[in-house]
Amino acid sequence: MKISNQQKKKNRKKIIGVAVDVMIDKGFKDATMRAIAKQAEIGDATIYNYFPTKESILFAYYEEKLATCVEKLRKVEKFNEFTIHEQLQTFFEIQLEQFLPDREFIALSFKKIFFSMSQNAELLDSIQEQFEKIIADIFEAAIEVNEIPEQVFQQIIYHLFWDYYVGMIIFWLNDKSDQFSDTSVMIDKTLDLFCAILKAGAVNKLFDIGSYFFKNHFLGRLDRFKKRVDTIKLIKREFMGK
Amino acid sequence: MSENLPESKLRRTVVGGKTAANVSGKVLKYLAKKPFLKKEDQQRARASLEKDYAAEIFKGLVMLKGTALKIAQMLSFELDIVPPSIRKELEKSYNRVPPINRALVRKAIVNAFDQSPESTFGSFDYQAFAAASLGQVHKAEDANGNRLAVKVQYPGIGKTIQNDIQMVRSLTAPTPYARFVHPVLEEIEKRLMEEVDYLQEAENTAYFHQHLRLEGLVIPSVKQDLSTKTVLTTEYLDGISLDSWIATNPSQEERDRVAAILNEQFLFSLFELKRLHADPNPGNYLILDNNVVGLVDFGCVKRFSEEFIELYRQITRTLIKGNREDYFHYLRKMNVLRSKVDAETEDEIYQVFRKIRDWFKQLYEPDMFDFGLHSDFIAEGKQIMQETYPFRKYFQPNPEFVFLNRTHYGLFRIYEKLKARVKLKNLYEWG
Repeated sequence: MKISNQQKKKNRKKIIGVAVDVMIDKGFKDATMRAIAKQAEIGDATIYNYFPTKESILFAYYEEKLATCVEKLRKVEKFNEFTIHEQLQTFFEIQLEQFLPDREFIALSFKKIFFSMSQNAELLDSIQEQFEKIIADIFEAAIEVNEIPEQVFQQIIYHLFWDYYVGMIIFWLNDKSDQFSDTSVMIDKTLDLFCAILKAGAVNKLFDIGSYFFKNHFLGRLDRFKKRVDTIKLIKREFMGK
Repeated sequence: MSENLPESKLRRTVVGGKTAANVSGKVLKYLAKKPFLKKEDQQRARASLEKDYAAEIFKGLVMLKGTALKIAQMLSFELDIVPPSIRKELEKSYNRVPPINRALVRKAIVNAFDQSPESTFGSFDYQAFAAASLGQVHKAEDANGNRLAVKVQYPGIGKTIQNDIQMVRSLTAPTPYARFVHPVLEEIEKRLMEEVDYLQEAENTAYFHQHLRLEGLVIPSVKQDLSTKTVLTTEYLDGISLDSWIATNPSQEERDRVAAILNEQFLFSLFELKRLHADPNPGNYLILDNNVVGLVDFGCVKRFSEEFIELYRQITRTLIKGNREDYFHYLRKMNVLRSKVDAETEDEIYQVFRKIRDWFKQLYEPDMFDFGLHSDFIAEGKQIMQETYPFRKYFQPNPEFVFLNRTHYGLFRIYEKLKARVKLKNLYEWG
């Protein structure tokens, strides 16, 4: 039976949603592909057309949330007028809002996804790539309108944000304050600092200092080392004659 | 960045700890001195120590921002223990919580309504148009295009306030002021926690909207379905703040009229409704078309008991017409004066009170008091009030007075700003 692309998408989404429920109820280990298929009213075999393993459903969940997040960001009124700080903060907050109904699922899947060095590394890479693309978009827009100067090692900064994202989710999972307001304040304050550093071009200045030390001391030492080599050569010549 | 209040408890504790360390250093100094001092020198040392205490504590509080500073300002306003130099420092400090950025505003709305501002309102302006004491106000429209004012609270502010009150309390606990400070602090905490509860404010606003009906005065109606504990939505009043209005150079008649409305609402609220809009910040009075006055921000409303109002009704008459016996009878009834005061001290207190009377009388003697002619009237009064300072150990603050005085003198200050002529003599106090 041939089914349309749209139907495929719909089924995929449904499987992910059902898998979340099943895993919350039964735990990751006991949530079998068969149980998920049954709940989703899809054939035991058909489910493998969508996902080869249980793990891949987990990854698909996070990927899908990132995609919806972008859609939601587009709907925020005058989002383009927000500062880079506000844009990043809104992005993180919307992520958490989406995670909220599935908080138990996040708690049980999070370690598996972000800290397992399993064979699923390339699946995680794909989420990270998608995440960093969003960050890159926000950064490039800010650089374009001169809100922040161009940054050296931009790619490394994006990686840092990925680590921040992971840390933020852990913080949120452990946050016991009313409506998780501690997490909101934490995000607000830390991004405030990050963005001040970015705006001041502090990363660039650090790089300047780093390269100064590198040139003066490391390369300088190489020079001295070279002199020593020369001296050895000289001694060698003196003694052994040439 | 510099506007951010140090929010983490660690940071606050570090700042607060600095103050406490300074204070205990001073106490040691005093204790070390004590055995070798003659009696009067001992007293002098103690007096100088008390001054140092207050100076150190409030210096520490100036370093904090936001709510801690607000508490300190309220305290220094109520208690005459703060040296004038520090008080000035406190008064000019910035006590607003830092503005909430657009991401947090969105978050606050989502927290309150479980959906984005775009889905909650017909339209929503992420840029605030006014600051409120513990939040900020945004323009919005409902689905039918009616204009709204949406007040949004900084997430987690309630917790910050409680931490700060706790800090001020423990800072002042080892000082001789604890007796004065703690009852007032309790009152301040109660008020601030009420101020943070927007449902309470919604109720207050609705109450005044319904009951405080005077000509030339409007109070916005509340949109209950769009209000929660942390978001308050009311009808939008299209006016300008009192300060901006004064800047447009309104005529003497217009200024008198506005002052008359403000005075009337004060008297009506206090004596008829027995509850008071107790935040006389010029930003809370809006001037609309035809000089109609809009009253907003009912976060700080004080309720009074029947008995207190009855007693308060007599304060003006007692002060102006009363004799010595009346004074002390009144002070004891108000529970302001401690019962044991020797005759000599009573005499001295009476002398100061006569000075206060001479100052106060000027307000009520003429039919209309012209604040424009007496531009330093309040300052003069403050000076005289400070003469009660040496007798402060005989007094205990009556918490009911805290917000009443704040409002009363706040309004006087506004009349002064308006350079208005106000008829202060009224039937409630003179009837």
